[in-house]
Amino acid sequence: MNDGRERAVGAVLLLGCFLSSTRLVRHVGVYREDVLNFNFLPPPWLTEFRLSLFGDSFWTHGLNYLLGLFCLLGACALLGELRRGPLYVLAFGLGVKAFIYSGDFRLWSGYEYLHLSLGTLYLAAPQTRLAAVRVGLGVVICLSGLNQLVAGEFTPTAIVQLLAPFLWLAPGPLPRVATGTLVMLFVLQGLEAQAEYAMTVVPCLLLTEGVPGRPRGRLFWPALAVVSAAGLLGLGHLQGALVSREPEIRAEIRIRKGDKTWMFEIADSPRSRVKISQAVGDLASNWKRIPVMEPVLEGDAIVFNPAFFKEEPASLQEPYLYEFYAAEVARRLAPDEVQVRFWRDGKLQGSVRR
Amino acid sequence: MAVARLRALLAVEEIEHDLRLRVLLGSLLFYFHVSFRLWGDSHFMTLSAAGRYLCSSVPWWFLDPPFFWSFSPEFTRGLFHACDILAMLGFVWCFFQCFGPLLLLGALFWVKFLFYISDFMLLANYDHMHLFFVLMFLISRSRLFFMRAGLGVWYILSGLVKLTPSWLQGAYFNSIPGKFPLIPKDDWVVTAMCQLVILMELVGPLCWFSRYRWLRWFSLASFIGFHLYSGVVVGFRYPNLMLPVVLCLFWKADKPFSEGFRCGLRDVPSYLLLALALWGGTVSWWIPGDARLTGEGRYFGAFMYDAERRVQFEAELTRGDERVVINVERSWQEPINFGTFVWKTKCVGRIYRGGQLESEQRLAGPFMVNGVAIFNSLVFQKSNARQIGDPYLYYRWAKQVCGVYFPDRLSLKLIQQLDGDPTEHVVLDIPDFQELNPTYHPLQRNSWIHDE
Repeated sequence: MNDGRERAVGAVLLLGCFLSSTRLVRHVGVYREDVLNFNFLPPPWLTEFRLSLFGDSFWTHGLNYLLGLFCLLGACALLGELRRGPLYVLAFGLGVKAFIYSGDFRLWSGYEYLHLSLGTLYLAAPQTRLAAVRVGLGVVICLSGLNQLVAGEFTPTAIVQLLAPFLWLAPGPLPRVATGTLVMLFVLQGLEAQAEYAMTVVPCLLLTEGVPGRPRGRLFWPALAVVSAAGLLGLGHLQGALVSREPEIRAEIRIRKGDKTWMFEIADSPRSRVKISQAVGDLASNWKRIPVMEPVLEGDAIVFNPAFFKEEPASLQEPYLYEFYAAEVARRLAPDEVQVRFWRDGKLQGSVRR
Repeated sequence: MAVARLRALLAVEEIEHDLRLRVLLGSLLFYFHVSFRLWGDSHFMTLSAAGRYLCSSVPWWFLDPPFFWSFSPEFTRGLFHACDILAMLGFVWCFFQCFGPLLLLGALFWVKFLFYISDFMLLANYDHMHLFFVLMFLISRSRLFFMRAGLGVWYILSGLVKLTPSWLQGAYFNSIPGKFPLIPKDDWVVTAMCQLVILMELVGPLCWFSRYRWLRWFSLASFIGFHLYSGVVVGFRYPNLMLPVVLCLFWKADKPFSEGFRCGLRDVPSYLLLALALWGGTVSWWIPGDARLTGEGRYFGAFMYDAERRVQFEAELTRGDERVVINVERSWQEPINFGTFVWKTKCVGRIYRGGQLESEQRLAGPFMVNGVAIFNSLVFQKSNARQIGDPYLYYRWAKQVCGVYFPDRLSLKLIQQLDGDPTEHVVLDIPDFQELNPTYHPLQRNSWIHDE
């Protein structure tokens, strides 16, 4: 490592792992390994494979603990001018994080994509780490802007994110202006809702400003290709920080088995975070809504677990969440009918019927 | 010129020339993130910020009403996010210089301190320690010496607070299903571990002053092992603060810790702070009664896990022909994983009119009676094992509810059980709160709080 800036970026990335681990701690459901209880949501193309790898909650939680603690100590070690050890810790942290996160689709977000991408590129270009991170920032921020446009968010924020990285290639003061604009933008977003995104992206932008040279390294270009491909594949799906405005979501779940009917309603908006209610009584006429605090059971089977929907509001925008839920309910409960519908800003987005 | 004087006053050069202090500065700065992140995300802060509307915040006795009552929840959360970002930028700043980050440390200290002392629900031992370490770091010269002394004092206080049957007889952990993770579940092993922790905390710091190097390193290894393991029991916040601090203070420590001892005029504030910590940590010992039940004097010093509790609370408000009964029942806590406990808190509200039950509801938020929020169950449901048993929580609620609902009569009854023991302790039994009109004295025995 040739200067303090490189070490500082390494520390930011290590602390990014720490941020992820503290975020995971709040997701208690992640550690209850029983998928049948609707505690976690495996990604669609990894489901079977991931289920076989997902150890019990004890080890997952232990890994998460090590992830947070060692990454914090690694960042402190970099500040203390220890160099080589923290890099191994960063590699370990990124690996553990990718492993844990592959177990629950709800945890995936723009921030995690940003952090994993920058961390990978940082490690892949040992001689030009700062330049590699700068290129990574350009790609991720650009894709972030593109993602918002694809999601129908035609906002100045999206356009700035899409175009600003290109200005880094321009001569004169333009690159600095572009960086300054992005810093302002992310700080403002951070104050509103996305502090962890800003906590990583802002120091990285500042620390890599004006870095000369091109990234080198045998692993750098393949790593960049993977990062870009992942970003492109995730277009329209990456949640959280990549979408500037949080929509209002409402979902309605109706399950019928014999003479029993369950009806649940999920509502989420930036002003009023996830509210889950159940309709009780005679659903045809005289019924009322009550809040759902705990899992709803039919015998030993869990019909509905509010934590499944509540732990990550951004995931409520994902049709896959409802598809997975409906499929699991159908498999477990063998009901006569399962119907799930969800609306985004009042517009019906999807309907699953089994 | 002014900058140079400020640099000299804060002894910035000392940090610049010692990597250990630089790392310590960075880790203390970053720990602000841990606090503000938790506060910003938790229900408490949102509720507290809107407390005057929801009857939900629990102002602490020396800053009432809290200064942030005039802030909107959005502003408060934005402020916390700003402090989050500043904590990270401060850490990064430490790679390049120390003066700026030191000033930032002072600024963040004040923000955290003002919020912290404003709301009973925010009080946590880790934050006590963090604020103490930060203040010591800010005011000291010969920082390495005073930080080590502060660490030693805090360990001793942590040992002192555990001198109760809950720890000495291992009753607390023996009563929790699963006991200590990763070690044998026999009662005697758990009891021995509890006693060893107390011994380590009381005697360990004294070893740092020994001229025997092996003893100093043995003490260090014990504390590091303890902190690594403590994360398994209490979660992230404690090891995240302590491990960087301990490692920095022991790094390259090849001489006894009395090295750097000084006693000049400039060091008086540091000694005063140490004395204040020692005094604060013993307040609960001077007040008669069992602090595990009464909670009196507890928050002036270390107040870590002191007991496992089950709590039953009943309040009855009468106004005209309207009678409102509120019941809170807290179960014993159960560990579900490393550092994660669950408990069940059942809050039920009943309204009677003319002697007839008009409505009964299980509460999951504010309980509205005639358009007035008289109770917010979230505060009680989210309270940790210590807060839920503290009579102060119920006293504050009673004060608030009298101010918004104006009942003719309010009666309170709080019953606690400790450490799996079936014995019920009646801590509060006040038939008429307004008539008694109790006042909370933080530094002395309150006659209306019992420890029977």
